[in-house]
Amino acid sequence: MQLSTPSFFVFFLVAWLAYWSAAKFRGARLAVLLVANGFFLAKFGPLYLLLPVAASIDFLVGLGLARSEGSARRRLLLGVSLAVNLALLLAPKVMALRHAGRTGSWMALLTLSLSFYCFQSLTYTIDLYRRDDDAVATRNYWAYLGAALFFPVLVAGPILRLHGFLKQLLAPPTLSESQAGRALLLIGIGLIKKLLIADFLGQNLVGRVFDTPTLYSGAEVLAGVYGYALQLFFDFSGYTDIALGVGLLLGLRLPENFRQPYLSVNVMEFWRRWHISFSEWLRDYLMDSLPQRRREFPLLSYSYTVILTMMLGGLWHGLSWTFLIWGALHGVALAVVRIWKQRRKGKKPTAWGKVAGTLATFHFVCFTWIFFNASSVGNAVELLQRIGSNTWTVGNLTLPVVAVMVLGAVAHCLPLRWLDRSSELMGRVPFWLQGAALAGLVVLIQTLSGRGSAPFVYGSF
Amino acid sequence: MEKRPGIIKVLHSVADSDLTPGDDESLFTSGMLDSFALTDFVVGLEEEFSVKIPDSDMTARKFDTVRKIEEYLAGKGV
Repeated sequence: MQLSTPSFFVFFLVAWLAYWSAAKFRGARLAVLLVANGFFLAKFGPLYLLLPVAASIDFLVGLGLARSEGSARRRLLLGVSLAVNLALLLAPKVMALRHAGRTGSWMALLTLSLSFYCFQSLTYTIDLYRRDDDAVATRNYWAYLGAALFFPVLVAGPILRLHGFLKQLLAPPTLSESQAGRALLLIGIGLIKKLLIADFLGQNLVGRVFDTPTLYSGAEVLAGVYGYALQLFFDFSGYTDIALGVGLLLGLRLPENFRQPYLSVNVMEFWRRWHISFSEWLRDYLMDSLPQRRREFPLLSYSYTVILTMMLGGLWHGLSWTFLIWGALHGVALAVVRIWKQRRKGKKPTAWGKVAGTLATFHFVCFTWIFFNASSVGNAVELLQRIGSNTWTVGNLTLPVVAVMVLGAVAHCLPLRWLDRSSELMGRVPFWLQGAALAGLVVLIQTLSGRGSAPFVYGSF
Repeated sequence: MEKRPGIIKVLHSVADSDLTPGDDESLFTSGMLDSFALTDFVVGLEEEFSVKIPDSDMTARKFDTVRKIEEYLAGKGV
């Protein structure tokens, strides 16, 4: 079930009403959440109703870690959790590789990637293993299932840190008018981003250019790459906005995932603004776990860990050379920027330096998106050759496509404080009117977008 | 012992920014620190507060905010 479809909003309306009817009673509230999680999972196929089994293992591992002092036993327990989650994470990707191109295979049953579930489950057991200050093994099984299988984030995040989220889930929820206003605004913005910008660009420009680049001029292919940068951002951040809004309507705050990433001055900053919950997860649970000698060889340790982390991060998206190259390019760029910053120690960039850095970073990121979205390395090379072909016709770029791209670029650059201001204004509107406005917006967008919602790009990773 | 001034002093000596963060503001999200600068920051804290910080503690999670750093140092007897 897509978060951008009318059926999801009907489901959520029912779940929301039941949740707040039971809000005063923690057990009842959690029961509603569990039923909602189960229903959401079941819509992807009955196979996913086995997911609570995996979650139960992590819950038991958590209890075991809380009671175990011996390092061998603790390692064994963590090993169990790692094995379960890595199997869930990797099995669909390995099977996708083996069944590539075959139709009618039972891969059709795997309609939901479990990556985001696995990442957040691992935050629970790894934090307990490391004895992090905030990590406490919960004894409340239902609360654990409610948090680990929380439906708004299962498809594409943001990746929750389960210990912090459990505390929220166990506390009495609150929903003020301004929170509700912000939530509905986020959902509305998310739908516009997804259906009117991302899907439109995907259907009318990006898909065509990436599928058959030889039919387009260099300028058109370049526009297609810019279009993909916008499509991916609006698709993914649109999903995140809807998830954040849905969470907020349940009185739960989810972590932000994007902060105007294409305005980053360098690639390090880009990774602080793009898919934030994932880059922080990589840093805390993968990069920090790699063996390194930071004091003796700081630059070498940083370079090798960041390049390896980004390559593994790339392979998470899919076991292919294109994703490996994408990850390696970002890893090397992060190491180069670090060396550059080290050499310029203390020197601040000028205003022009910032503009140049922003343009260079954006184009580097676009260059890497070519590999990210290409069907093969050959396809990526083909796209690059077309861009370098010195052909400038733009007859295939229609006015609506150009208009949506310009609109998207402007929307990406709007000051973030405008969202806060708009939320305040929305909060002053009566709640019933907010809800009616959102319902109207859903219907309007569904009508305008015509063909319905394409799957979220990150839902397949 | 008031630890905040010493923490800010070390932070300004290793960070690109000379801004003063709030107690609960993430030093990593704000860009004041990154995984690489963390090493210099931890070495600076060791010198400033005469404390030994093991490599296994050298993680963004433990040094993410001024408050967390204060609590960490308090746990070390500073």
